[in-house]
Parts: sequence; structure tokens; C-alpha cells
Amino acid sequence: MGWETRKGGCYYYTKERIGSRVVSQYVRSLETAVLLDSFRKEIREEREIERASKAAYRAEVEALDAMSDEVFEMAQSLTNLTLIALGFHRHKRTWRRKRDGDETQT
Amino acid sequence: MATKPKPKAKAVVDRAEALKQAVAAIEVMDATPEARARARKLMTENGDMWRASYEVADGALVVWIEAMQATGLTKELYTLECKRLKQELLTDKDGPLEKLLIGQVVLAWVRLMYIDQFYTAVFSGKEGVTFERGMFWERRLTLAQKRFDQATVSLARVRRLLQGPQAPKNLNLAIFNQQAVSSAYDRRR
Repeated sequence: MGWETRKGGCYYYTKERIGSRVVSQYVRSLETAVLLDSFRKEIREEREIERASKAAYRAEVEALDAMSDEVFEMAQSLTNLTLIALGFHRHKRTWRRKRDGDETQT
Repeated sequence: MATKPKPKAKAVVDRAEALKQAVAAIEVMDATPEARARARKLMTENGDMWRASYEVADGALVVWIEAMQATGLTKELYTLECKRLKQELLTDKDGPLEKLLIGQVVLAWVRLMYIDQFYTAVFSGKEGVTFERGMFWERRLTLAQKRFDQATVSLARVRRLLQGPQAPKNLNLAIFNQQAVSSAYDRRR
């Protein structure tokens, strides 16, 4: 869509998809063409800005998620440390403690 | 697209990383008597370890609440709600570890609420959603739900181990905004 040079002249065309075909439509009036062109440019710029802000926002959410994961992993490490210090051990992915020959497990 | 982490988030990550490194350095997972002794020594020598871990968890909570696209009042309400949840989840028998895990449950809840809010906005928007964008939020919601489940299970498990059979068998999830939590789960079914 936009200005096209045909047979030495500069003409403004809009493009529209009809089914599987793309149809070019000539915009006759010069004023309308200039106005339409600037209007389309604005829309394009707005879309670009919106796309960039969405990407930035997604990156922010990913950073927040990464931060949370780090905190969860820290808590997990401290949990493991505490349980080991208190005499627990891991057996087949469950924590157990030997207590007078009796085993507590979760 | 990678962005520079915000200073507060970066500080939280650095402190969490430092604590994790300190624990990893003594290699206790083999649970031998020596490893047990090393674990006890580390915990005795670093008396402020718990305080530091609470600060890290609280810092992460503040970062999440500040990142919300909401009014100051809503953010304040979230802060108060987190405080209430922590108090309600805490029992008389809970020690420092349970307290840390309660912080994790609340952090996971805030994260789930935050992601669910955007998930809803994205999928109910009039302009529709691209496959890639839909997948992004779908993945985020799945991760948030998984973390919330893991956090609640961890707390219940540790209570059962440390407090014995007297520990409450189930975590009272009714104290959370139950409707919001279950709608976050149901929405994707």
C-alpha cells in the first residue's frame, strides 16, 4: 500500500485482500491520497509502539518470574539444609527421619 | 527480548543467589553425619540467615505488588491482604522454616493473581490474541499455578515432618481468595 510509480507518474494505491487475491485500488484525488497516506503511517507507527510496549512488558513479566523462581529455589535450599541439620535424609524422593528405630516419612 | 532487571528485583535475585550459594557450598545432600554437622555449623554461624531469607521473600513480594498495573489503593490492599494471609497461615507451633515457607505460599499466590489478571485481559480482549501471545500467557499461568501448588505442598510437608502427627493434615486454602484461585484454575479447563 502507498505511492507507486507507474508509467513515469506517482500514484497512490490501497491494497485489500479479497479471498485469496490482493486487489489494488487507485485513489484518484491527490488530497485524499496524501491524507490517507499520513493516516496509514500514523496507524503503522501506533502499532509499532504497541508491539514494542507489549514485548517490553512480556520481558518484565519474565524477569519477575525469574526473580520468583530464584527466591523459591533459595527457600528450597534452606528447607533442605534445615531438614538435614535436624537429622532427616531423603529416600526415594521422600524425607525420612530415624527415631528409635521408627521412621517418619512424608 | 531481554531487559535490564529493575534494581529492586536485581537486589532480591542477588541476595537469594548468595544464600543459595552458601547452602550449596557445604554440600549437605548426602546426609552423612559429617554433612549434618556442616549444616548445623553453617546455621549456627549464620544466625541472621533466617532474617535474610525473610527479607528476600518480602522484597520479592514488594517487587510483584509494585509491578501491578493498579492504583496505589489496590496495591495497598494487596499488601494488607498478604499480611493477613501470613498471619492466618501461621500457627503457634510454626518455627522459622515454616515462616519462610508461608512467605513462599503468599508470594506464589500474589504471582498467580497477577498472571491470572493479565491472562483474563489478554483472552477476553476484543482484538483477539495471536497464537504466540496466547502461548506466552498460557505458559506463565501454568508456571504460576505449579509454583502455588508446590509452595502449599512444601509447607504442609514440612509441618508434618517437624511437628509430627499433630500437624494440620491440610492447608486451609479457604483463607485465600478462593474464588479467584479456583477461577484461575478453572478458566483453562
